[in-house]
Amino acid sequence: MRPTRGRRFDVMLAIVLGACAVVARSQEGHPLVGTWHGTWGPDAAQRHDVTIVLEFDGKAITGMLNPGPDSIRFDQVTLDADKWSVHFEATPKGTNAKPIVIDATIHDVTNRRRSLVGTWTQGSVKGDFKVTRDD
Amino acid sequence: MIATRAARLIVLAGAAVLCWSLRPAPSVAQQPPPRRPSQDPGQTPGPGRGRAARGPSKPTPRHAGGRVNLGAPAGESGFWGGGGSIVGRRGSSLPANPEVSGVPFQPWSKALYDARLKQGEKDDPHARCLPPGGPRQFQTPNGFEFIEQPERKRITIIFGGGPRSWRFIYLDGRPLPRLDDPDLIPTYFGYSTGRWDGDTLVVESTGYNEKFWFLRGGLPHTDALHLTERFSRPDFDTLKYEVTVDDPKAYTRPWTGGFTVPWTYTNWDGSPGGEIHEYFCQDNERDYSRLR
Repeated sequence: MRPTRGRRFDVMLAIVLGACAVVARSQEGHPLVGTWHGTWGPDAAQRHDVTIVLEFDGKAITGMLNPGPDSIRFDQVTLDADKWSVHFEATPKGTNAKPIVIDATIHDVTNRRRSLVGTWTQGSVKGDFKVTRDD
Repeated sequence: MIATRAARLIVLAGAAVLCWSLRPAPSVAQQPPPRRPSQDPGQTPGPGRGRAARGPSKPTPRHAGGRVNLGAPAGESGFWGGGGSIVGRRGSSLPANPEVSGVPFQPWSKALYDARLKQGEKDDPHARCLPPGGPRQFQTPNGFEFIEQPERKRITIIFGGGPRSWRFIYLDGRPLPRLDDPDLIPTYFGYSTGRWDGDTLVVESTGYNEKFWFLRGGLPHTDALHLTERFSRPDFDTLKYEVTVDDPKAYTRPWTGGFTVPWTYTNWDGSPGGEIHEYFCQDNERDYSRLR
């Protein structure tokens, strides 16, 4: 059976995510480092899959949203370790794309399967957001 | 009827004996069996082992060429017990150790350390029987032993506690792996090269993964961790362990701590012998389900 374009994309995405998983091997170090999966959306019926990959070089947290052909590198990621709150800013490709702002808190920070829970804002659209760190 | 009752009694007794014989060995992730001499950090040598039980220590044992022997001399047995901490100055910890307030944490690593303490260290990977790298390997009950292998230009350290691991220290002059090498596979014990500086074995290690806590209590580390360990044996019964922690992603500057470790003359049950007994953390591990 000839693979459809969607299936090809799935395969490509799986390869990219697999490569990211090799890079994201941290578990007990900096609590943001690693690969996170989850969803965001304005309500329970409208959910969008989200993958976040984050790294830390000792000074700055960097990373990307949804690795693959349409990945978006974060412009800014800041962590307030006193509250375990995290602020993300990203600018999607395209002239009409609205900037993305995510404000979240790390839940159960000592757990290797910790979560980021908060809000996702893109233009006038606002929704809840939750991703869990891969083990 | 009598025969039937007797048969039932025999079966019951047999079952009881069988159950008793199959009872799990007294082992949990980090605690020694009840009769075992205590090797908790911060304790001085107890009865049956170490200097306290035998009076003044014998001199440092040496090989024929004069170099320090970190193991048991020919014809003798024994191993090293558990050590103290590289933070704080209690028990067998070194007097120059920093207190926690003196550890140069980055803000995130201090916050994570505090969170781990506040939660009772419930997510300690060692409670899931994962290997303890770094100084933690010498804090684990059931002791350790240096096996010198000059023909292979390496020293192997075997550990009686945790998941019964071992570690190689190469003395052949090979370089440490580069942390930016894409082929590097980070490991629990890292990659170690050593050299003798007089009577001190100096070991450099890097290439650690982030799947473990490198010290009891949960001081964080990252994949940038570089350890410089110094092993010396000031007398027969004492191993002095010092380590410099250099992890610029977790700490603002390198820092040093250490502890002493007592020589153990006895077996786990206190009988003479000084042999590491068989122990596997995974066997009868019952802690983790209660930590969630």
